[in-house]
Amino acid sequence: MAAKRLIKELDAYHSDPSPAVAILQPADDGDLLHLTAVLLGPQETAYEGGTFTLTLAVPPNYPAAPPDIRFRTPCCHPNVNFKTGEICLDLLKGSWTPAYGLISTLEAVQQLLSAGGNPDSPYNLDVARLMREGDLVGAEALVRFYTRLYAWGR
Amino acid sequence: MDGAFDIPDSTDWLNTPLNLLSTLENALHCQICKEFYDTPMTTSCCHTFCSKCIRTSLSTDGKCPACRTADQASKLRNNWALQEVVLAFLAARPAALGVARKERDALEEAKRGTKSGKRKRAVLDSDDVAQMEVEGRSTRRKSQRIAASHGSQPEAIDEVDDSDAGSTFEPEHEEPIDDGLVECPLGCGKRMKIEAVEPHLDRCEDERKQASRSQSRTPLSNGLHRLPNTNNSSTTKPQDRISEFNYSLLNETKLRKKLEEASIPAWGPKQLLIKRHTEWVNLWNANCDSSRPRSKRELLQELDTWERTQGGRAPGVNGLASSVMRKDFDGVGWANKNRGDFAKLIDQAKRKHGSPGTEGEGTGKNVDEAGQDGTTVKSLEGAGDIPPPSGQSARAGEENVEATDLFAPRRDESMTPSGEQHHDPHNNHTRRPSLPIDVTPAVAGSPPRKVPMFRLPEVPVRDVDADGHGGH
Ligand SMILES: [Zn+2]
Ligand SMILES: [Zn+2]
Ligand SMILES: [Zn+2]
Repeated sequence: MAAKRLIKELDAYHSDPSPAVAILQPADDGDLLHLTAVLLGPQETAYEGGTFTLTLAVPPNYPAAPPDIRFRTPCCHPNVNFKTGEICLDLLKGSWTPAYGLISTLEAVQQLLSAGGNPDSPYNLDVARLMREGDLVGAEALVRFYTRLYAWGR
Repeated sequence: MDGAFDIPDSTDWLNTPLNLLSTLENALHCQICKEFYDTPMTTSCCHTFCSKCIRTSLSTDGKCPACRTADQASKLRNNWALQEVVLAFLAARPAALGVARKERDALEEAKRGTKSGKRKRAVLDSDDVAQMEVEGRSTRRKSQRIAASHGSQPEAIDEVDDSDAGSTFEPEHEEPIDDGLVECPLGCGKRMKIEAVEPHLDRCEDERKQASRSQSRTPLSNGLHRLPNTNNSSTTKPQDRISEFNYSLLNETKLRKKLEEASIPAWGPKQLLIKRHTEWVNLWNANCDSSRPRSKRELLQELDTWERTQGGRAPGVNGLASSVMRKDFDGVGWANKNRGDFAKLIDQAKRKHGSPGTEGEGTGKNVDEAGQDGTTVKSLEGAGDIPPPSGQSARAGEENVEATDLFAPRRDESMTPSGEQHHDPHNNHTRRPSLPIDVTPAVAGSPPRKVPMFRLPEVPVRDVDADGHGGH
């Protein structure tokens, strides 16, 4: 079921690309359960211009269980672990439903970036602290800095 | 000829005069498996999914996948009307698609103004013809006659008077006059042109499933889609649903006994026994829901497939891919015959989006560059949960020293290459149905305190937005 649905999703993505996702494809030939995606930094945010590579590990019982999605391009966000790329997003955990797909999930990740996130469950203490203290200029500066450092021009 | 690889898809309709049918086709898809509804069931919250899909989902988290309302499998009800619609649509699809494509091609042909020799022959593409062919020619002809008498499109397989097209259709492939057809290697009995074989393989299995489903119909069946019954002999119709029970109330011995009673494999640790029994209950009960139940032997085969992909005989996480790719996966060598499609998918992705190899390297370089940069390499390698920006971030935030020049507006720079490719080539017909996207970060307890700062909607932040970059 997992592989069959993934084929469907990839097919649908190719016929109808997502404005958020520049690339979605198997990481290597013949292995459908491990994919690579490139997410575009949302426009008019500090992530704009960034292209973020993510890896997706799809469990064999997908879509009953969510994919494991991680940033491989370092991403500065209160709910993204800068080092491991782990994403703290309900959708990827408790509130996953099989009606979601890889693309809608990646789009949700992009929305998480533009929404600014929740500094009260930080995966990134620094940017979370700036946000909690209300230093939005500082937080945005930090995000821009890292986006430019790691995610530009690829 | 259409689509890089011919998996039947709602996008087949796009670019044809019947493009609105892609919306209709999408509406006939289950939101869990993204395929045509198979034994649609409606939940207490009035959402509809395939029986097996919703049963699997409910046994996983007890919630409706569409609205997250709690529900129980015992409350599911058949949606017979929807099943009729799906079957009727499937019956009409090949002919309709054939006509749509023919019309599209005729229009294109007319545009090019190249009218070549008038030939009278099958006007539909071989793919469509192959797709239309169902087991048993006489039954097919009969159903086509019925369809035709109901005002559907004329028979497509035999000679068709193409006077309606307004121009002569030139088939893309030269069709040999002596029947150079080959038989489906999966043994469905269809004959088709050699080029049609590969696309056909993808739908062969699905079609046979659909066909067998439609054999025994609800009392409302109009007989339009009745197909020959080839293997009824093996059918021992399972009658009663297995009622769910609380596994935690059973000790391992009793649970094992339950599995033995059901004559399903009873080996493995308790967790595996529970998973296997759950899968079995879902298979069994979904089969009870079906108007065309399969034999217990077939269900056991499916359980065996589950065992090899998700159960006790599934390889570890690392080897999973190979198990999915195994030849015997899904009983009919599904993965094997799709292997070509994987390659095509990947190829297409590469052509479409530029070299993925470069992308991969780029990712690697991200970290390398971090190293070269010198300032962050330590934190990248640093242990613990504290992410690298520490220390430095404080400065960047409080003093805005290093970061300041990075704020320079970069709109004059060209957008990322990939960004530009993403104009939507189609209208919204195939847009995925939108779900309420929950971007709540996973956190227990505290209600999400969202800070919309990165979008800077109203807050006028002069330093950054003096150039009007943010605005809102
Ligand atoms: Zn389904
Ligand atoms: Zn619901
Ligand atoms: Zn009734």
